[in-house]
Amino acid sequence: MQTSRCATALLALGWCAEASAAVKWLSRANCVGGAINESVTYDRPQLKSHFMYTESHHVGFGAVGGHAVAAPWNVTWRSYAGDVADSTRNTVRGLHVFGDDLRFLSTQYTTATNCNLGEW
Amino acid sequence: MSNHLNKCVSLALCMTCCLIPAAHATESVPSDSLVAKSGIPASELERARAEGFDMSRMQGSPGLHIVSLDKSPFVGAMAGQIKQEIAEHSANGVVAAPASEVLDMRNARRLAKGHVDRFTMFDKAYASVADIRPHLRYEPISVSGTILDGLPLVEATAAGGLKDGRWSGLSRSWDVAGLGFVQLSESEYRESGGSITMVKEWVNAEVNGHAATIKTSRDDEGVTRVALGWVTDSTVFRLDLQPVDGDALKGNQEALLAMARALGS
Repeated sequence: MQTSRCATALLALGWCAEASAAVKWLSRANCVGGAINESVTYDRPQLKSHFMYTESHHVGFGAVGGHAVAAPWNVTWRSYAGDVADSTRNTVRGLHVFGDDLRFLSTQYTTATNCNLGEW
Repeated sequence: MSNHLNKCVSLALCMTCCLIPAAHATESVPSDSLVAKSGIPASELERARAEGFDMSRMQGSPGLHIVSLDKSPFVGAMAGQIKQEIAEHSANGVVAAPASEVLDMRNARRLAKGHVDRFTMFDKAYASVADIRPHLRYEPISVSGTILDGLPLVEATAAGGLKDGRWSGLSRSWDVAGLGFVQLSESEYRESGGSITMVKEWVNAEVNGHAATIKTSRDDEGVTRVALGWVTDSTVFRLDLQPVDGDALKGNQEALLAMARALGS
């Protein structure tokens, strides 16, 4: 039975561990010369894997449209969506989806107009 | 190997391309779902669904959603795994797990600390609530009136979302003599319009009128974990216990529930 549970977990890319609750999420805009815009979902300091999905929408100041990048649904301790070569002054909006022990699913949103350099 | 290659290709595409509006990707997506309100591309929906997670079933509206398993985002074998765990927990009071599946919270803390020590600027464990409070957007729930009151904190770390340099949540841990290693985590989700989905069949407890779920897991190496989670209209709470006596299934659960019900008093 336990083998089958782990076999099932291959569906979750090897996720076969108890998750923890210390997930964090943030967005950053206009970092490092104004070119880096990103949204990140991660578990630190425990570095435990969860299933995660992250989307990062970048819209230039005064613009209507914009573009988005995403980190695919994955089992990981860090889900990163961002780009490094957009020198437009942006507002970054993040979408963060993650699970917790297969019982809670969280959808969270972030907005950033600066770099939030205190975190990584 | 080919799966790995596919994942790499998928990753590269997702990281470099603009997203296709989801409305074009899925014809039957409910208008209030997360997918309808975001730009999740069709390829990503398909990939997640193949791995047991139907993102088109994710709720787009804020707040708490308690949904039955057959309407939840879990599908296929993933849903089967959850169903099996619920049945096993209901019958035995514990879910058996393979070796190393249950997180050893004490060791995880030490190992993680060793890892992040290499990046000392990122190692942000605080010794007291007073120390971490300036970094938080909300006042942590009081532990006064619980058995945690007056016990020395092992550590406190930030959690949740970062906004204007402050976090929406935190995690605190204590060593409780005779009971075990306890970790209390909380995260506010209302301010940013977040949503939480709980699987209805896993709702097997209540904490001060709020739906709660409690689960004991034990792996082949004997590591036992009791996890209790509940959600208010503003905050997700979680209490985890790595008990001294892993065989005291009922006693450990009752101790955790009593602790949860006394929080904030």
